[in-house]
This record gives sequence, structure tokens and C-alpha cells, in this order.
Amino acid sequence: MRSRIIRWPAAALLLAGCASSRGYHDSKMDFSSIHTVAVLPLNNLSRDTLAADRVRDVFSNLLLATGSMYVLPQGEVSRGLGRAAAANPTAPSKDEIIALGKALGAEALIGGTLKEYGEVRSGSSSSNVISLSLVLYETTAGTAVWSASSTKGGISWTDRLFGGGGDPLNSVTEEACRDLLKKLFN
Amino acid sequence: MLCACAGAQRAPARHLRIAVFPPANLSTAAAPMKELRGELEAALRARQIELVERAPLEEFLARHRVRYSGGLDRETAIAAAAELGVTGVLITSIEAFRPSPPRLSLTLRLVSSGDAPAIVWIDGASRAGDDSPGLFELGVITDVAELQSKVFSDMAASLAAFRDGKGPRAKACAPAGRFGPRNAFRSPLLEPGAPRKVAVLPFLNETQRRGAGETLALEFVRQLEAAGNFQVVEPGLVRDELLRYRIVTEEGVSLDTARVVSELLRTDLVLAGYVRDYDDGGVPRVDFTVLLLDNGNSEILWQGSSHNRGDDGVWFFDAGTVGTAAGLACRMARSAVDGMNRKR
Repeated sequence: MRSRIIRWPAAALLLAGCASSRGYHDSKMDFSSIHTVAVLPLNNLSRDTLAADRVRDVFSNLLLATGSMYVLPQGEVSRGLGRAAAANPTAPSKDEIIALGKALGAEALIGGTLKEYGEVRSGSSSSNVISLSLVLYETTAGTAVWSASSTKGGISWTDRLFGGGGDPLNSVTEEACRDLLKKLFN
Repeated sequence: MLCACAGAQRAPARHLRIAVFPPANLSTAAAPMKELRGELEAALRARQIELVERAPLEEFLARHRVRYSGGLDRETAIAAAAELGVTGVLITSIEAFRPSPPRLSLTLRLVSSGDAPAIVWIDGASRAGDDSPGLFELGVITDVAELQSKVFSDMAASLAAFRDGKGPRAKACAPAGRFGPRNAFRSPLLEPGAPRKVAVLPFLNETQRRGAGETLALEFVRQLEAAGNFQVVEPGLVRDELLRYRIVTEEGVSLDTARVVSELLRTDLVLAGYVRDYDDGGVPRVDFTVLLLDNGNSEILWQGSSHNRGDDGVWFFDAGTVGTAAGLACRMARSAVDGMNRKR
């Protein structure tokens, strides 16, 4: 009887560990006041040098396609970064966020880190994986008001059993970006 | 459907006297440009299309120091009308060439000479020797000369049909839903089917393949012209203005750049984009993002991302496989343009 009492909370804890986190939402922030947003270049920790640009493009496009925010073109963001003289565009300081917001006429900026992108191998199995975390900064105070991360793809048990290379990288990227958008809007 | 009808407008027969500029090589391989040009001229002459002789044309190109033959600027267009007496200049862009197994992709456009150069006719072809193998591979073409001859003959027939008022001024690629954009944004301000003048900027090339940006931009020029409601500015004029005003779009088009280009070329819209993959080896792959910017309010009117492989949606015996990257890009561009013209 006593061992059953211990087993149930242990199982619940294990399941909680598997659940994807919703991330951070600033409860005081009115997200409906954000109309224009700029997606900054992402910090690229993957081996593929172009991966961050690809992921940024997919995320920008999906965010724009939701119709809830206007996403500035990437060329315009580059111009704004040059004008605001941001030392590190992937990790702007508080002052730089405020300056960028003014230069671009954006109420919010989205930055983040691409932690993993590409093929993973385990024994004879291989698959594509992406791991991405994003932060949304509001530009009046230069603070982070939302943050979340998502990891998609990887080697599933079917890949291990039956082989196959998993989903294409573009599909996995779209899946991760949609997951992040879901976390942003929910 | 609307696009197909618009592209199939008929006009009365017209007189053409053409200068065939040396082809521009946008392919990754060293193509036999002199041979290709000669074959194109022969195919055009076979259709009774009046051409300027090679000697006076070469003299004209040398005299005006025309080094770029992938487009026509205003000065050259005026000089061509006055000195060569031509009604138009034929611009040839070779997008892919491989002798064995043979592969040839090209776009041809006829640009009017004189004070206001404009695209009069545009068409393209993309063929690989094993496009239609048929029963026991009897339809496989192994000789590049045979493939060239077929492609140039088709192009000459298309231009002759246009001259005689029997063919369209621009042919759209075959529609294919499987090559449509993966995700797209459409502004409520974009009125479907409304006539608009558009400048197409070279796409930002993020691939290792040389000329991918220009190649994709050309596909969009062709598909926009074929849609019927877009009047596309001759790419040579766009290039000339970009060089003249030292406009660089190294990290993508900004709203200021779009506004300046729009003002200079007096267009309503600017189309720009990024190419992330353009691979012609094995099964072709193309990946791009395209933006349509409005001059009036400097906002994105349409944006879409597309990435496809030539064998997407193919399940049995390679039926429906697209064998060339240019052929794939053409279908993807057609789907994107259809998306711009579609009602919400």
C-alpha cells in the first residue's frame, strides 16, 4: 500500500517533466497593443551557418500569416539595426531595444537563439531536429514580456524500429515555429 | 483560370525586326554561347522572323560598349531603334545547361526599342533529356544538339505565333497546386486582379549557386506578365536604376529602397525576395520567399514562402516529376502569382 502511494506521485512528476512548457508571459503586458513587430537575426548555435536566417524567415512569415501582427521586412530590420548602431543584433541591450523600436516604428521586437538545427544520429537511425527559443521585447521600456522554447523532430521509436530519416527539416522548422506561435497567442 | 484567360489575349499580326543580343549565362556551367545564339537565330529565321545581321549588331554593341546583355536600358533601346532600325531586342537568359545527360533551361523576352523599353513578349522552356522517357525509354534524348534544336524551335514558334496574333504575349507555367506556397500572408489592401505596374528586383541569393537570384526574378517576371493584370518593368531598366543610384539590397529590400525604386520607375508595387535553395542536381530543389511591397503605404501586400522538390506529390513510377530546377521554380512562381491574384 505504501509503495503504491509513493509510485503515483513519482509517475505524475515524470509526466510533468515530459509536458512542454508554456514559457513566460508577462501578466501585466497588454499584447493586443502590439501591431508592428520586427524579428531580429537569431543567435545561431547550430553548425549550419545559414540556419538562423532560414528559421527567422519561416517564423516571420508564419507570424505575418496569422494576420494579428504586422511583421517588418527583413531588409527594413537590417536598415534599422544599422541606424540604431546595435553592437550585437542578436542580443540587444535595453537601450538598443528602445532605440530600435523608435527607428523601426515597432512596438515589439522578437529575438532568440537557434540551439540545434540539422540531422541527429543515434546508432543506425537518423532524423532532423530543431531547437529554438524566442523572446519578445516591448520597446517602450525595453523589457522581455514573453519567452518560450520549442524542440521538434528527433529520432522517434518508429525511426529506430523501421528506419527512415524522419520529417524534412523545413517541415520540422514549420512545426516548431507554429508551436511557438501557439504559445505566444494562447 | 482568370490568369490563363488573361495570358491568352489575341492581337492583330505585327511587324517585327529584331536584334538578337548575345545570351546571358546564368547557369553554373560553361555553355557554348556562340553555338546557342547561332542556333536560336537559325530557328527564328526558319519562322521568317526578320533579324538584324550579326556584323552590324556586333559593331553596335562595341560602339555603345554594351557589356551586359541580360537586359535593355533606355539609352541602348533608343540607340537600337535609331541605328539598327529594330522594333525590339531579343534578350536570352540561359538558366541551365548540361551537355550530358542533356539539360537546357532558358527564358527569352522581346523588349521594345525606343524611348520606353517594355516587355513585348516573354516565354521560356526547361527541358531535360529524360523528361518524357516513354515506353522502353524510346523518348529519352541523349544528344544535346537534338534537345537544343527542339527547345529553340518551340521558342521560335511561340514568337512567330505572337507576331501573327495567334499566340499570347506571355505563357504561364502549368498550374500545380502541389507547388503552392507553404505559408502566405495577404493584406486586405491587395485587390485581386487589379491592374498594377510592378518592378521585380533581383532576389537576394543565399545559395551557393551563381545567378539563382536573377533566375528566380526572371521566373516571376514571366509569370506576372502572364497573369495579365501586372505590367512588369523591363529588368534591364531596374538594373540600370539600381546601378545609377547605387542602391544596394545586400541584406534584403528595405521600405526606403522599395519606395525609391518605385518612384524612379513609376511603379505601384515592388516585388523582391530571397532564394535559399536552388539545386539542379538529381531531384531539383527550390526554396524562396517573395514579398510584394506597396508604394503607397510602404507595406507588405503579399508575402509567401515556398520550398519544393521536383518529386513532391509523386507516388507512382516518377509520373509528374519535374526534372529541372527552372521548371520547378516556374511552377512555384506561377502558384505564388496565382496566390497574389486570388480572392481572400
